[in-house]
This record gives sequence, C-alpha cells and structure tokens, in this order.
Amino acid sequence: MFDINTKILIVDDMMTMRKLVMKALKDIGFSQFSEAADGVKAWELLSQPSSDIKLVISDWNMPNCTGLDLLKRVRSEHSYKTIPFILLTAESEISQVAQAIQAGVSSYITKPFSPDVLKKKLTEVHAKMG
Amino acid sequence: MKLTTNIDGPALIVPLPRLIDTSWGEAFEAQSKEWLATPSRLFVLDFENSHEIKNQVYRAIVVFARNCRKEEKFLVSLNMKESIINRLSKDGVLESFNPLKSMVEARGLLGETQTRSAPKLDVRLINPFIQATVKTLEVQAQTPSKPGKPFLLKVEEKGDKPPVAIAGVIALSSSEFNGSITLAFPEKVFLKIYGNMFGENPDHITAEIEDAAGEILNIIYGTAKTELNAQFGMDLRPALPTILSGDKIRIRQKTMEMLIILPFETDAGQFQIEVALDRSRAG
Repeated sequence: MFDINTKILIVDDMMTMRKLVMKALKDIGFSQFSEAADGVKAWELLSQPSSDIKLVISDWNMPNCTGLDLLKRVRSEHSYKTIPFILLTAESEISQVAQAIQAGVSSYITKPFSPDVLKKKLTEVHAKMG
Repeated sequence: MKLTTNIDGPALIVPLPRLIDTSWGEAFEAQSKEWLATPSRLFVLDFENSHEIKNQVYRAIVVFARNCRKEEKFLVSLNMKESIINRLSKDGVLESFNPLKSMVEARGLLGETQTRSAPKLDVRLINPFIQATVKTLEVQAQTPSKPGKPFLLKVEEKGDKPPVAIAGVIALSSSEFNGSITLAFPEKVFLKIYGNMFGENPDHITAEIEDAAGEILNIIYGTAKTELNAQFGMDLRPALPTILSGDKIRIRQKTMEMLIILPFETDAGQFQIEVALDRSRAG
C-alpha cells in the first residue's frame, strides 16, 4: 500500500465526489490532498515545480479537459510517465475501458464504489509499481 | 334545437329530456359530430330525467357510439331506468348505449384507454435505471431503497405528488429517442441520504447538497447507460446533470410521448425517478 503521507490529487468536477473520495482515503489513513475540478486545473497543480503529488485519482467526464485527456497528457510527459493514475468514473463501457488502458491508466474504478474497493485498487496499483 | 351539454374534466355530459324523440335525435346527430372533434374523450348520456325514448333516435346513438370507438373515445349512459334498459335490450341496441352505474365507473374507462393506447412500458429500458438507483444509493450513500411498481403517466395528469425539493435532470440522447431522466426527492429524504453519505446531519439544502444530487444522478445514469448500450445496443450518449431546487418545485417534462415513473421507498420516505421519452424526436 502507498505510504500514508503520499500526496494524492483528486480530480472531479463534482464537489461531492471529491469529498467522497477524500473521506474514503482519510479512512484508509491518507491525509495529504490536492483537488481540481477539471483536467486543466489538475495539470496546473501537477506540473508546478514544487508539486509533490504522487498519485492521481480522476473522474472521466469533466468540462474543459476530460480525465482521459488528462491521462494522455500526463503520460506524454517524461516526468509523470509512471505516476500512478486511477480513473474513477461512472463510464464503464468496454470501449472506454480499452481507451483508458491504451492511454496508460494504472487502474479503473467504476462508480458507485465502496471504500473497500478503493483500498483494494490502491493496493493493487502499488504492488504493480514494484 | 340546440342540446345542452356540461363539461366535467375529460367528460362531456348530455342531459336527456323526459321524452327522447325524433327532433332530439336529429339535434344529437348534428351536434355529436362537433363533439367528436373536441378533446373530450368520454361522452355521457344522462338519463336522470328520461322516461321514454323513441326508436327513431337509435340510429344517431349507434352511429355515434361506433365513431367513438374509432376515435378511442367512449359513449356511456348513466341513470338509465330499468324500463328503458329493458326496451333497448329488447331492440338490440343496449350495447351502443353502454349503461353504467356511476361516473366513477365511466371515468375508469379512460384509465383503461390510457394504458391501452400509450406505448408499452418497456422493461428493457427501465430495469437498468431501477437497478442502478438501488445499487448507487446502497453503495455510495449507504441507503437501502426498495423500488415500487413503475407506471406510465401522462404529463398533464401529474396531479398531487409528494413535494419535490431537489431534482437532478439529465438529457437522454440516442439515435432511437430523446428525453430526460429526473431524480426527484422531497427535502427530508435527500437530507437523510446526504447524511448517510457523509455521516452528517444537515437540516436544509445547500449548494453542496445540490451537488450531491447531481453526482448521484450522474452515477445512476452512467451505470444504466452502460447496461443499455452494452446489452441492448442502444447508443445513449454521455451527459452532465442539471440540478433544480427550491421549495416545491414543479418539474415539467415537456414534449414527451410518455412519462415513466419509477417510485422508490427508503427509511426516510419516498422519492422517484421520472423517465420522459419522445421516440418521434430521435437525434
């Protein structure tokens, strides 16, 4: 599992979902968070020189820049090529999952999600990082 | 002769005279053609004051009854005396007069018609929304809910419903139909759901709580859309919710061939999903 001091970027245009994800992460033990309401803002936070974000959990459907577009941008930058990136979204159609995998997503969680599922996925992603 | 009529909702009531004779029959034949063109769907011959009917009147009634059937409208008779019933039965025309016991029974015919002529309630379409709602509230909001029996409703017949304090609306768009889905809650029901999500105890709706309604609808729609697109080959497109709120807001589902109501019961009370579809506006 990730170190509990890992800084996590939560990206979702819906405040409620950011709050839910944060609550679930706090229950696991995490305490360092950044938030963004769309992919554009998320990229600004991620690409700051002082950014210490080590994990991104993002929705898919967002205005300005979708989660998929954010993922593609992140993976195209050498500095963030391997940053763990989890898509958390209500979109679970096979074609979309395939797109996400092709873009380099670390894991994919379908809403509605339980805190246990989130914890399990984080464990799996961390294990893959080796 | 101009016949007197009364309008009672969808019903047009024709009080009959003591003696229903040829001149009445001629007036009825002329005016009934106009009545058929009105929005009235139920025509009531009120025999309250009638004691005798001439057989020359039969033809006008029989023709009108046949034309009503063609238009999916109804002709009924109320307060018919037994002597007249026996006479009409003996003459073989009673069925066209369609005597009933009460206005309630007469109005019941309209209920049958509405379900018969309305598009069938397609369970393929609604079951994914029902399942998605139960799952989303259970998993994301720790709120068990029990779906009630779905039913079809005409938009103008929404009548008395529980007051809605907060509603999320998503536009449905596919090549087969357009429409919308509305998730509608009374205040205390959604406050309880929100409280279950976050372990809080809010006492009024705030912007944050409105946001939660939108997210819940977002999840329900996403889940149902995946099922409908994958299992039934529909091509529902992604959509973002709009939140409406305010004291006793009135949700209007415009256009729409039909309105499907999916009721749900929770410990805090009832809420519902309204699915409005218009197959004539595929986009």
